[in-house]
Amino acid sequence: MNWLCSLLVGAATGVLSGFGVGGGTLLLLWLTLVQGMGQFQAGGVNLLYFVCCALPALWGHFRHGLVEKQALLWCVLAGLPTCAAGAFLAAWLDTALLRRIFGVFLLVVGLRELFCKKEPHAKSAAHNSHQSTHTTPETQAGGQAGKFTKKG
Amino acid sequence: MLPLFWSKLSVSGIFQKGETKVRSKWKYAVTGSLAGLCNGLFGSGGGLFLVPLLTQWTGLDQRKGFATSVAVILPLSLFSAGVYFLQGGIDLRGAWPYLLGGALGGLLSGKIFRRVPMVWVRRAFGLLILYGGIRAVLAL
Repeated sequence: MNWLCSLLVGAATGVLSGFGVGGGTLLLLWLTLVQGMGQFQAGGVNLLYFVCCALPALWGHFRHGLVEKQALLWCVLAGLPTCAAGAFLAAWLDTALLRRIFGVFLLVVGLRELFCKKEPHAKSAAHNSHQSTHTTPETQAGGQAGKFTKKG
Repeated sequence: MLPLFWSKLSVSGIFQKGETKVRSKWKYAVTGSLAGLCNGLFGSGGGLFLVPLLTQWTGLDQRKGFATSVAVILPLSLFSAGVYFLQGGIDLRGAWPYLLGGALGGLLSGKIFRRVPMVWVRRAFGLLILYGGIRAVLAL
């Protein structure tokens, strides 16, 4: 029965992870708070879980042309060394301290996400306005800057 | 938000095209290295850096930012998982239901991604994360 519960939790956070919203972080909370796993152990499970989850999600994202190749290349190249450094640091640090640091990080992120604005639409509107009409002051600013870009 | 967006556009106007490209590579690299540090240290949370930086700093469109962040974290996670494994941090016996569930959830998310209102997903997520953060800081 216990495994079924884990499976469902994994699936629910998996949907969020596939979106890139932070399902892995939620799973990590589940493992540490509900299952009582140590921060480092939970991190390990979570990493493997993310690999399983990201593969099928990315299949959809790539097909819809949503992955920016340049960004992917440079982020990964720069990310690998810091990633290794972080992992060794995590293994070396005291688990309780590691959890506290993680908690501070969560508070910052949680506040920011809670008060996030509906930027996606405003943003894409500003992007489109390079070619189309300018109505609000905001889109006008975007449009003018866009013209400037073309000249430069 | 707007100032960031504004400065990005005016910068790309002043510099020539090639230099803009170098600039954004540099930005991608900084973003990636922060995400990598977080991913390695906590075993999660790279996306919490990637998405805002990619969308607000490098000026990627929102949906692309989310999707690209997943693509970036995949190799990073694989790499970190290797290090965790070597350091004895992974217990596979208890992990498999999460792995299987995650795969199912990921499959579903790839299908419905373009039709979901992200703002509300993010706000609900923010609440849960705050709760977790408070408990983790107070060591409850």
